Amino acid sequence: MRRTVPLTISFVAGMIMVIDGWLKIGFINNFATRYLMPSVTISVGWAAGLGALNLIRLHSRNIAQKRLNYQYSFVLLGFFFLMLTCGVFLQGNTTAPFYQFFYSSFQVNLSAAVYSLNSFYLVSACYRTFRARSWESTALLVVACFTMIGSVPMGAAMWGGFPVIQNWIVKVINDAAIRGLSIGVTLGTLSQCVRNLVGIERGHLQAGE
Amino acid sequence: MQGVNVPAGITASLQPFGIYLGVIVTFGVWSMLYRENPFYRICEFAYVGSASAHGLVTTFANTIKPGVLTNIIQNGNYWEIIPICLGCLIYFQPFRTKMWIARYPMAYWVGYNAGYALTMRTAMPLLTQIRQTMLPVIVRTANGISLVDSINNILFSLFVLFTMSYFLFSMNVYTGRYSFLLRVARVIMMVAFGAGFGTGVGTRISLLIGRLDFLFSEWLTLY
Amino acid sequence: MNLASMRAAVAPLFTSWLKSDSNQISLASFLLFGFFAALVIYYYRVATQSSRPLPKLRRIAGLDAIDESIGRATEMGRPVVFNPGMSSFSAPTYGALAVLSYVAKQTARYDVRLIGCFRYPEVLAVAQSTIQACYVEEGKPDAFRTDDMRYLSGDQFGFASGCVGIVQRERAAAHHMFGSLAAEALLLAEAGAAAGAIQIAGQTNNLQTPFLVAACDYCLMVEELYVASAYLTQDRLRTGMLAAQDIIKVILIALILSGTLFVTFGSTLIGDLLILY
Repeated sequence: MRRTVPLTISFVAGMIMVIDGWLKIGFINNFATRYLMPSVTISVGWAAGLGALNLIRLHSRNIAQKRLNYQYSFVLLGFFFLMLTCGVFLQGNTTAPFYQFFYSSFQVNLSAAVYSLNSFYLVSACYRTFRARSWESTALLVVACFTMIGSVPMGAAMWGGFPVIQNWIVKVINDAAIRGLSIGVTLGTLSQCVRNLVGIERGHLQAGE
Repeated sequence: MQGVNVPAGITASLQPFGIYLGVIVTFGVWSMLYRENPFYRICEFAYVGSASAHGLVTTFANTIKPGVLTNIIQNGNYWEIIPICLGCLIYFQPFRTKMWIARYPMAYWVGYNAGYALTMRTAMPLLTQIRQTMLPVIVRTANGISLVDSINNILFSLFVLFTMSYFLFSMNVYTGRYSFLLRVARVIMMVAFGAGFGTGVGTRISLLIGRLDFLFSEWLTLY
Repeated sequence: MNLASMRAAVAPLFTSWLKSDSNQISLASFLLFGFFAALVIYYYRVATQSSRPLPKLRRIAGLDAIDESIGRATEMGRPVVFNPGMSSFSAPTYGALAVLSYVAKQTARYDVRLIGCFRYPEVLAVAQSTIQACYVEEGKPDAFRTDDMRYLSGDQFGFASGCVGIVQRERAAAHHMFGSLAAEALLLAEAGAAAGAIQIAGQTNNLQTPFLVAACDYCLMVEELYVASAYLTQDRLRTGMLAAQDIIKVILIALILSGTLFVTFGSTLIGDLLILY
């Protein structure tokens, strides 16, 4: 009962979507569009607090039990409640100036800074690939160098052949391989989703037996 | 929810501090390049905290508030109470004896999304790509046969087929004397990934340039 | 018979019940999907009869390395960090959760700490249930630590910065990145490398795979993520599904070959048949 009912719910919800995706059956199309799709958005939205609860519980415990680095949990909870207060209680929406100030000066800058770490890590990743000395990594790096040089004006100035080679690699080898990979991924997606729909992958429905 | 009105003057006077805050967190995050350190840790914990709250505030403003105030109370869409209740069942998950109740929303979401992917929108690009791969291996032009285009088309088709057949997991196509073809397929993919790597470098460098631009123009006002 | 007349002849048969699209490829897609469904049912029947043989899967080094990485974590007494990707419920996340199920069983068996990093609360809930079930199955329900299931905000880089910090602070011995990864892939991989972890990545984004190939010890080649659960569990049902998937792939290869042949000799018949309705 505790497993059969959820499996049935899963299968029925999925099958309605499958039928709606392919066939013109008035009441099913109507039900899927009017009720099923919005209901997922609504239910997922109301479940959003689970993440916050996880965060609050973990960091409150860190503080209460004075675990390693518990001081930083104060920072996390402090910023969490500050943003929450500004967004929900102080002005009631995300476009309010006070909230926007915290968001644009703090969070946006943090996001850009974390993103920019990629540029530095690119170099270390290249270095490690170079050190690995496998034929696979060598092929990858040599082609990467050709593509980089060929795609900048300096490359063309050095030797006119660079952009030609770069273009050929991208148009023939890269596009062909990516197409082959994409076809495989789509098939894999179908197969994975069938497994989930019919309940072959159901690890999440077994907890609390 | 009406909320408390914060005077615009207060937020305007905070703007210069915003730039300093941006600079501090930028260096805080970059300090990670040396090693994991308390400066980075403060930035990380503050970021996770504020971003989590932002997610919650956005969900509240875009889904929960209009859902209750507009859809249910104003428009009388009382059926929306059912998915709300379903969503709330997930909060039984942390309780060991009652966690089975949380299976219902989980099953619903997993089934719905699996079904959503099993439709035309997933299957259609597959055949579109198959169709686009049907290229003539002898390319005829007004001046006769184009050797370069023909070779390119032959190679393109071969590379697609090699890549596809590399992922035949239950059919041992590449065994015995043909096992080298598995390597060929891997080389093709590595070359393709190399091209992807080279193309992606520019994007990543531009991120750093964006940050440097912020530091030099907005903080140091060098230009 | 040209394409327009073929379309005109076919349309009345399907217009009342089959949805169409602007590319007019829906009939072919539907037939392919129907055939796939039939194969799935066939292999389901084959898989449930243990006397009937199923094909063996070829070796996948990246998946073999999962056991190696957990073994290393056991020896070192350091945790395994599992990252199920950046997307909410989608096929890559389902693939990642299937791998997580195996990883959790192994960590429970060998008493290794498993830390999960999550971006979406709903994925956190499903993953937590999956892991908990694995610990119960291995007879160690008390070894499961709720505090090791960490939600790290829905913001892409907030999540990434949290993962980077956790991998380094906890000095992970193994770092598993599965599911759907985006621009943060390289950040996560480099953080794991700096912590000295064995890194295994498996995701389906072609744009990120090059960086993961460069930065990780083992990188599953895109589609291999979907094979993981069948390969790791050697389960007959899952293997049967893979066999069905491979048959479809062979059909598509045959379609490309025949289409190429037809086009070379000046006929677009095969291509046209795909865009009838």
